[in-house]
Amino acid sequence: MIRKAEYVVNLGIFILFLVALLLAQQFPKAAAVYPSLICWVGMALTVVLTVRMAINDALLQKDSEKLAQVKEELKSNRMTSDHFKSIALFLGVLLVYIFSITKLGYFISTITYLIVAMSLFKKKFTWVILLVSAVYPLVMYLVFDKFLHLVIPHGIFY
Amino acid sequence: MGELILQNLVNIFKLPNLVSVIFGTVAGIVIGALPGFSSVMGIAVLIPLTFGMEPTVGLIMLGGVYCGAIYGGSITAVLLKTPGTDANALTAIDGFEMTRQGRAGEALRESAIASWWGGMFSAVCLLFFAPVLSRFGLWFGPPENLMLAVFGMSIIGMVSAESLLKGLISGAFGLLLGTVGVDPIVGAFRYTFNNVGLYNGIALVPALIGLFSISQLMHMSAQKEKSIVLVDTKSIKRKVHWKEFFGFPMVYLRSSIIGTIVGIIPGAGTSIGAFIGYNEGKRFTKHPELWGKGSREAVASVEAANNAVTGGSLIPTLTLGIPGNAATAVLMGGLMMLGLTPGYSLFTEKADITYTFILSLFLANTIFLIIGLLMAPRFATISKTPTYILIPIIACFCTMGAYAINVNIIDVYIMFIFGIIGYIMNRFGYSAPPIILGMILGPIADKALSQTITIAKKENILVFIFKRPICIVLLIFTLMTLFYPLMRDLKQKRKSVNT
Repeated sequence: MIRKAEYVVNLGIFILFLVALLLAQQFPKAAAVYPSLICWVGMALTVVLTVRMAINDALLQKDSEKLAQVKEELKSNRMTSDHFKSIALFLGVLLVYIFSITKLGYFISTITYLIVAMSLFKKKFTWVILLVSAVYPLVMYLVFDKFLHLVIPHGIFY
Repeated sequence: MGELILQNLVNIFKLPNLVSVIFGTVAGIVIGALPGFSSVMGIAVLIPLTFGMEPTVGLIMLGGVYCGAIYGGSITAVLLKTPGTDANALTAIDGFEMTRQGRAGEALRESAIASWWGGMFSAVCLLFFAPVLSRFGLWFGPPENLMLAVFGMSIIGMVSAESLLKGLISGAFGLLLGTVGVDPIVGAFRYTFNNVGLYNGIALVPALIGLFSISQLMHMSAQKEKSIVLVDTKSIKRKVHWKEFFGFPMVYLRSSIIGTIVGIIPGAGTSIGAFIGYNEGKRFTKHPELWGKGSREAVASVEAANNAVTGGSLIPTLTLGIPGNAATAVLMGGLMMLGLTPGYSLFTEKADITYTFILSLFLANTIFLIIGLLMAPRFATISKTPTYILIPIIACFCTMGAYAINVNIIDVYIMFIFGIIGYIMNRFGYSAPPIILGMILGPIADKALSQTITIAKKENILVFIFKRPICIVLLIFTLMTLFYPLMRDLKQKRKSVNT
């Protein structure tokens, strides 16, 4: 197998459609027809895609020059541990922010999130970070709350 | 009619009306640019402001909000890959690619110009042909809506970035997501897992923000890019040239016609207009290979189409009292609160108010064009902001936008999850637009299919559908769209074999 990760993704999508199909069997008959149809189509397409990939891979094995080229391409696109770390950092801090926004409130959580996230990305703390973290939440508050009368998330500290 | 138009043309330039249209349009642009805050919410929020106003002044302001909001959504789509509304989803692809290439100013200018063409064309149709065109919307029953949804789905091939098969799988995934919530006919809960937040289905805009914006932020974090712009060019500061107004005349005309027609069809909405505009634009372009990689023509085709929906959707609203989409439904509510009843009387007894309102749409379109062109270089400098500042700010912006829609934190988690899904799918060649298309069209198709089955009774459903002329026309369009990418690939293969 040349593109293992892609096969895993295909399998994941197939399982997703299969689970959705099984869940649809519990709906009343009239409500189950449409989602079941989509699931069958989705599964069929995933199988066709996987078979086509397998055939292409088999053909590639015979052409060593092309195979080397594809392997090189895949290698250059491969995610390194550094990439994973950066994404995990971004998602982790964002998730904490989303969680805290309804617990601590908009101002505290947004200011803290901006300071922490910017400092982590910049890898140092500067006065620009402090300024942006103080001004931005205020501007957003004025636009969302005062101008548009939207409900912003509230917590124990407003 | 000519006399009426001339009489009311003077009315627009009265100070209260002028101030109202300017305020409405500027507010609309701001509202449209905020992710999660649609034209529907904008009009709803500003209706109470109009209660103390003269009906004409109030109505003009709401019209300005409507026009401005559809345009405003393209600004953040181009600069931050965060579409303000679902109608700007496809602008986010080519517009943002242009920003990455240092052509943000060009993309913003094009979105303003194309939006203006679309808005003006549909306003002309509304002014001169409203009573005639309004009948077209009445021809659309459940079978026609079903075929429209099927035609919409056939666009997947065109909006898929790499592989048609992957695009179709993404589309099926989007359709499946569209089934979450209460079944439209029997009222059964589907895939809600007893979660109240899912009873109304998966909110489209948080999913859209996640798929486009959060996944892009993940990519930027991973690549550790210093700014959005990958190459430094002078295009950001370039001033507008008059020739740019006529950059793609056929695209403007085609997308404007599409947008106006889609607008007239009740329930179709701006996003469907935008997707069909993109599809037809790609079909007729000389450079389809550039679409998805920063094509100015693609931005033009989407923006002209979604802005043309504004005037189109007002045709059945004003003439028949049937709103073309959610925004005009709210606008109609505002109309009635101001003591105006949609229908024939609006064009006879209240002709002065109606024609002043319609003429104000021309002004609203021109105002956003001027603002768009003047501000484009300033907006474009955002793309040069260092990513360490921009990434957390956009993430914060998206969080607030996703939360604001239903004041529900679950929507923010949906945005987060869709961000991860979008990133994984992007890495493996699955594109986001088919998912959005599936989520938009899924519920329409679901409802229309159930209604068609009910109406058809014992008659064969296919016979029932295809004895209706509009369904046959839509079927022909569907087949053309489905086979076009295959024919094009075949032609290219033959060409490469010959050379």
